[in-house]
Amino acid sequence: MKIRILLADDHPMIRAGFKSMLDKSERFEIVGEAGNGKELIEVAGELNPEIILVDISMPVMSGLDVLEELSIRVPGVRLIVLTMHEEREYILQALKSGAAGYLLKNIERFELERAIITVYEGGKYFSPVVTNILAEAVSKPETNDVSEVTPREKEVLELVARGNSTKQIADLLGISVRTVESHRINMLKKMKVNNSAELIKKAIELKILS
Amino acid sequence: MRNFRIFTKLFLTHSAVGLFALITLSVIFYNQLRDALIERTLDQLSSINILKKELVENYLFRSQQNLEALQVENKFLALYHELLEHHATAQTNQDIADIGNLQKLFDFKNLHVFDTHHRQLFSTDEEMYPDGLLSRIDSAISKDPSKIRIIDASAHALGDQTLLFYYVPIMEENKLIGIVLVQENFKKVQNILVETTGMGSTGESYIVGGDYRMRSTSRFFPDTLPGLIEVKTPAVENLFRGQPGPGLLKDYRGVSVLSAYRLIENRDLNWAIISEIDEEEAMRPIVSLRNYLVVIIALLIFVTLIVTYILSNAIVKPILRLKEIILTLSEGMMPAKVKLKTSTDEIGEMAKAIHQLTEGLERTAIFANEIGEGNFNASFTKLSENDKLGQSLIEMRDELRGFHERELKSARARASALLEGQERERKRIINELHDGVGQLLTIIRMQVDLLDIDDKSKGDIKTQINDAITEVKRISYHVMPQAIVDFGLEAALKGLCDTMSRYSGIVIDFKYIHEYDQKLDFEISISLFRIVQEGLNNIAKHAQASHVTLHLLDKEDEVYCILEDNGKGFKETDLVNYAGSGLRNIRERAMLLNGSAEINSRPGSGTTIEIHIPK
Repeated sequence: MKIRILLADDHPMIRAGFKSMLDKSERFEIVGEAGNGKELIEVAGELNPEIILVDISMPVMSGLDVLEELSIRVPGVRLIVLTMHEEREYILQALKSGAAGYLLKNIERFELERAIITVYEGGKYFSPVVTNILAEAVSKPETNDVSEVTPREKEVLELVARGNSTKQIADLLGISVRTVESHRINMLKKMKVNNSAELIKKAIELKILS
Repeated sequence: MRNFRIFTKLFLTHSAVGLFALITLSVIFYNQLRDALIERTLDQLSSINILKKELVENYLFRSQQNLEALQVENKFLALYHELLEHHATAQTNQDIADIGNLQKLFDFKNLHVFDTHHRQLFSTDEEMYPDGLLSRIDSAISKDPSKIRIIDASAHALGDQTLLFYYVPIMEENKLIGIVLVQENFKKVQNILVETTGMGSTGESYIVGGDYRMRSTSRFFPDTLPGLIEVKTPAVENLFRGQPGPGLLKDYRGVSVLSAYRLIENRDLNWAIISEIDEEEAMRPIVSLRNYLVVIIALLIFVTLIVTYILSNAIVKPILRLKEIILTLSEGMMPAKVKLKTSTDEIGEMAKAIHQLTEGLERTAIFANEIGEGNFNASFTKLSENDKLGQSLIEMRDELRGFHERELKSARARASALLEGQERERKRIINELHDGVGQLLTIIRMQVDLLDIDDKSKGDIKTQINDAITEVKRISYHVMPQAIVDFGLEAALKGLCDTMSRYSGIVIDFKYIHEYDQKLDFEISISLFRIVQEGLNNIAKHAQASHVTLHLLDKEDEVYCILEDNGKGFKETDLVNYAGSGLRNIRERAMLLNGSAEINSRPGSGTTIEIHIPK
């Protein structure tokens, strides 16, 4: 049984390139092609492929939006992103949207084959560059040491909790706006929260604020 | 008057008033005093005059009485008989000797005895009388020759001497048989008059006969015979016309005198006794008073001058000062700030008014200056409800502000339109690069596999194509990261930081805090991205930093961004130089979005850029 593959790219030449690349292998069968996101969704529903190789920057409907749609419309299909983009946001977003593989277009034939097979067999596959970026993304050291909250930071926190603006706090404490903001940011970092509301909530939980 | 200076005016008025008062008072006072002095002097003269008159009269009366007593004793009759019948002489006859003694006793000048034919029978001296004397005596006694008489025989014809005789008739059985003529020693009368105590240096009393000739010797002409001096003065004329009384008149010398005059009361004599003093001397006290007054007036003028000078200075100085201020103002300059000593009078009020004027003008000038310098937020309180200049300036400011704001808005609009167009163009370019060149290179790379060449050559070509793709990506990223279009600012910045760290080795502490969940405007996003990109480029190029902090705070009303490095920093003055263009771009970008960028740096302690972009 050959693995049924659907190719989606807005460039016919690219599609042709990958098609000829995959055609060389006995294991793959290109069941169809699509030139944009909308077409891909339609074709995928009809052809019921096992693997979809999809570029994430396509006209009409961008690849990232398509990924989620496909996961719903074609149950069991495995999605592999094949793209020029190597920024981590694309990678992370693609993974979130259900991609099992993330490959760069300058991939070699044997690697492409290995990737498809790995994904087909239920695994995940990323190009080495992508793997590096992913590793960087998760290895950011972040601290959460409450004891490091300084008295001045606590002071700022109390004033924030009372609803004072940065400018008011700066005036009240006789320090610059910049200092207030950096205290605030430092605390957000230390407490691993994303905004002041969460910060206050967490501070109360941790009994820094009463 | 109106052309005079204030000093002159004040001086003239002060002097006029002062002098008028003083002169009026002086004249009244002087005249009163003069009249009083004249009256008093005349009174004094009058009493002297009475005294002298009494003394003269008494003297003459006494002499007459003495002669009468001798007559009663028939002394002269006996003498006559002795002389006539016995031709006796003083050496032979006791009685005759007695007569001589009597003459000496009574101090008569001499004594003569005549018979009725004017034959001299006896004389106490050898003196010869001028011719005509006896005929004068005859005519004087012709009416009643039986009585003792006093006869003034002085006459020009008789030698200008004063000749005063007592006529004593020698009677026998009611018949005149002889005459005794006794010449009075007039010196004694003269002595009475000569006594001038209390009459100063010009006072005198003198006697004038009915012929207007002086009888006594003048004080002023002691060597002139009295008969040579004619005294036809108003005093004598008045007297002989029967009008006695003192007065101010001209005397025989033609000198103005105060004069008291009376007739001597004697049956036989028509004499006037006159007591006088020169007006000049009598008035001497008042003259010195007048001199005092003149000195006082001169002094007053001097004092007036000084007082007026001080006063006019006190008045004029502030006026001149105010004039200076007004002149300065009229020349379009602001007078130096001098606190005027303000009095509460009209000049003080004027000073206050001018002070207010100056302040108003100064305020207006400052306001105009501020407008001129482009500070359209300058505020101004009108000097008054109808301050036209102020109103015009305020209107001008408002109009300029409006104009300026419109100008700024349109400049900003133009600039941001330009930037927007630029960004749109960049979007298109990266699209072309990615989807065009990038894809084409990928296609070419794939087709290399189909070539009938050896694997090593294929590998080489592919590597080169890979390099080309990487280059395209790098270029495309610099033009605009695809991520900011697809995922927004945070993702783009994260990518930027990753790339930066990877290539430069700088540790970047990146934190993006969403206080507010709405997606940021693309315009703000791309601007902030460019700002950070510019900042990081600067750091990489110049700062020699090892650590960078990039924090963004996405708040409800603004985005706050701080970019801090621990590099070498720079001097504020270098801001305009090498770091200039990059940092200036940051500022301009921020300002185009109505935001601000504050850049702080010190050599050795890194650089901090703070950006506020309002939403």
